[in-house]
Amino acid sequence: MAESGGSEGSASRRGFVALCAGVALAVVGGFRPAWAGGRGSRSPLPLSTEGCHGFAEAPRQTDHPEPRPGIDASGVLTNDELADAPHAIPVFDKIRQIPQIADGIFCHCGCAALPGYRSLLICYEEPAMAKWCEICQGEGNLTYRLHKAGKTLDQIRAAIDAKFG
Amino acid sequence: MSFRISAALTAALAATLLAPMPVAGQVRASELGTVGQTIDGTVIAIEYSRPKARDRDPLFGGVVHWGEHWTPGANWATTFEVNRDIHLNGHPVAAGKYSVWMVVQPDEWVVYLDPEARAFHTDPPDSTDAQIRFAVVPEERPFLETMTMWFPETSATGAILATQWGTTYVPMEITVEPSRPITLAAEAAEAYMGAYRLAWAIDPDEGEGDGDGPREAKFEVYYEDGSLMARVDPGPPWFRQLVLIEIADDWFNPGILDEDGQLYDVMAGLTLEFNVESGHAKGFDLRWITDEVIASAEREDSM
Repeated sequence: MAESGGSEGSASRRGFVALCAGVALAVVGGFRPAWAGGRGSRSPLPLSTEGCHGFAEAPRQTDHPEPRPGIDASGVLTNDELADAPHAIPVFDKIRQIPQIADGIFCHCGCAALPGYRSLLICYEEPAMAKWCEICQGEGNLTYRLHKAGKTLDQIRAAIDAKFG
Repeated sequence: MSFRISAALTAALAATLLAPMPVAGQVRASELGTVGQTIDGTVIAIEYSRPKARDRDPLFGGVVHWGEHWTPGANWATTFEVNRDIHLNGHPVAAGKYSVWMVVQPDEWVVYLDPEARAFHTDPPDSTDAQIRFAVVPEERPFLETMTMWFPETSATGAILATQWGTTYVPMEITVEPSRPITLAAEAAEAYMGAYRLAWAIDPDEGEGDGDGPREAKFEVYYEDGSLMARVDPGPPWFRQLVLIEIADDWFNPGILDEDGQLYDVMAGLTLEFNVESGHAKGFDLRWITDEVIASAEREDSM
């Protein structure tokens, strides 16, 4: 067996601790129609994307935070601060109207793995990933639409998970 | 005093000589390799040391003796890790990390996974009920010097995991649990079936055509082989024949089937939201990932 599989038989080698190289999980590509990219300033996300970071293992858990009492939209970027992303002004306008709802929504784009993340509301505060991330924008628009339609926070969360989870 | 200084110098010198040196690269006869594959959210990761043939012949029945419990690799046992439950050659494998072993025989081999992932290759585990065991039949392929594990085939529902060393090739079929079924009960499908008139709010051919493509299409929803299907005419090539995959009440993602009717992509960035009244859909909105409506449809038939 000493030769089996090209074994490395010294005691010191036997004691070696294999480094966990990890598996590169980034998944790119996938089907994307022509119009899905290159529309204005939209990021060219493939339709099958799992998240803005492109990680296959972007957070998928249903881990919606509880909104902070008294939370407001004072941290949400103003229109003046969106000069480099005018296409995002409408959704930022919406989030400014519903900070207490947005603060109770989990963002599925993968940003939850970043330091300082708390809720979807954070995506609209400096550095405001929602300026470019279509998942942040989609969750923001859907949250606003369902809230205006009279849906409860739990119903909105369920819809968010169904569409983005 | 001089003794104390001398002792201190000696101790310092010894400490310098005995201190561990920074880890440097080290050539291994069987270098560590990793291979991974994601299928519908199931992540498969394999870590193994990769022996070389080095003119040794035969590899099986020689280097690896008949009847030997061999880990396909070298050094520490090859590990197989999955984040969700799968089936391997039809046998259920719970999410977790396992060491991989093969009982090598002239004809039929036995593969077994052991829940103790950390094991040295010379120390195969005793047989236990916790192991997953099944038989495989090796095939012969063109010679491969370095033992290799890879995924030569993938689909929406699984993959082939291949192991080869020399001319001996061992394929194993991995089947994953679908994240969402593409089937829908016939009674549930009835609400949506029928003919719709679809009006695009955008140019569906943008980037490919001149922007003057048809902005209206016939959108027919029908039921076939247990799935809710849609036919779009005229439609861009990627949006002519669809399977509608339910993600919530009255919400569907369009999916694309291959020529064999197997799902090969889900357009998770698009959602059809049907407007259902009194048990029948009156129309639907097609929304992009940003929630923007990119097309709307109204029912044409009399349902």
